[in-house]
Amino acid sequence: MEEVKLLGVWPSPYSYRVIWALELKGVKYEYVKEDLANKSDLLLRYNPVHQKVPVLVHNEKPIAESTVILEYIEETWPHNPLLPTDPHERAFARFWIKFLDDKSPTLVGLYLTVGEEQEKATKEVRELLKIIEEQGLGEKKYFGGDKIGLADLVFGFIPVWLGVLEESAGVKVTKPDDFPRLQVWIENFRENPVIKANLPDPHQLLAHSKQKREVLLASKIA
Amino acid sequence: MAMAEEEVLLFSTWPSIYGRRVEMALKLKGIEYKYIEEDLTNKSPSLLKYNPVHKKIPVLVHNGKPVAESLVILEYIDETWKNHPILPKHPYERANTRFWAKFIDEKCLPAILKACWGEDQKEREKAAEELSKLLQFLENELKGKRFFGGETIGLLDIAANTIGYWLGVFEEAAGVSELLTREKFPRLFNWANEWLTCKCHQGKSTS
Repeated sequence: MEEVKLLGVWPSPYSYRVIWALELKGVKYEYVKEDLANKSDLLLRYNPVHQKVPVLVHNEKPIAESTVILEYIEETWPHNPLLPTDPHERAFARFWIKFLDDKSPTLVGLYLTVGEEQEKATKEVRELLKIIEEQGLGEKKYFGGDKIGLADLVFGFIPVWLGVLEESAGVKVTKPDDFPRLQVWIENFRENPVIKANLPDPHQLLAHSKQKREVLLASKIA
Repeated sequence: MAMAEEEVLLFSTWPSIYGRRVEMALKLKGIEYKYIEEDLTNKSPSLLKYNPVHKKIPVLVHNGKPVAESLVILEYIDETWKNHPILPKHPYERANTRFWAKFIDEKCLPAILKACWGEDQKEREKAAEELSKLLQFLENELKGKRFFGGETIGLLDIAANTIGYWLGVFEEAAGVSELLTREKFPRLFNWANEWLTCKCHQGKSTS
């Protein structure tokens, strides 16, 4: 009876957040690979407003915007909760989810810039990581508290994509001793069995990232 | 429902549309709160303590615990005070509400700013055209409903407050009146008029 489809794109952190949420809750779904250069009729029908992925389709009803999808998943399949029960802690999780998404231009700026601009972007990302570690993570094991939650899935950008962006862009934002608590969180996140089983291949991701950067920088200069 | 120990503070500024969203929700639910006007050129130690990350308003402080970001605050209010719910019950309708609230913040508000205060005529006209397309989505969303929330004001109606003020008060806003007319958006204009009559507004003028 239950039919769940996820329209996504392979390297996208936004698609992966949703995959992780579904997998953590053991929800069976069909993954539909989209090609953003050639959007399917299905995508245009299910997300006419933004024409973007990810889109979750549950029993023919589409939901778009990754953070909206995450909340929908949490409410529809409440077992293995990914949000705390306390309203203040839930607000805290939502605040940090928004924080990371609002700051994505800064994170991506690292990757899309060269020279002085890139130095500036590197500095800004370091400042962000500091805020994230001190104010967001604090002394907790996960952003969600004792166990992995929606906020962790969103911050999953850091362990999985940030390193790849750095390497493709030829920068290093952090030194080995920097942000120790964040480093521990990164290890815990990557070691979670569900996350571990659902990670993009790092070599493919790096190759894709490098290629994309060349194209984007060339179009900027042109 | 309010207990003697319940303390609700709202740090905001008078012109802030984000602050007004929070006030609408608090008033709708009949929650007593203390309003603290911030001077953003001289931020109070309290604001810096309660919102160290952004140092912005609005911030709701409930029994000493702060919540920041207007839409996050609205969800918090709805989860904490269950009377006059502002989010629907069903997960799909809740997702729909959240989708459109995000749409307003990420697409409509920037377009409104550019349409009104863009650097030149060309930029303003382009933004007004864009806004017209965006508002068409909201116009469709209102089909058959008095408010976005149905019969009563809900989270999306609150999130659309800028549109409510704007269409309700400035039916002939300079430079955009040709694109945003009652003829083109009958449901939105009706909605704005209904929305303005809600007792949950401050009663101050919205110049």
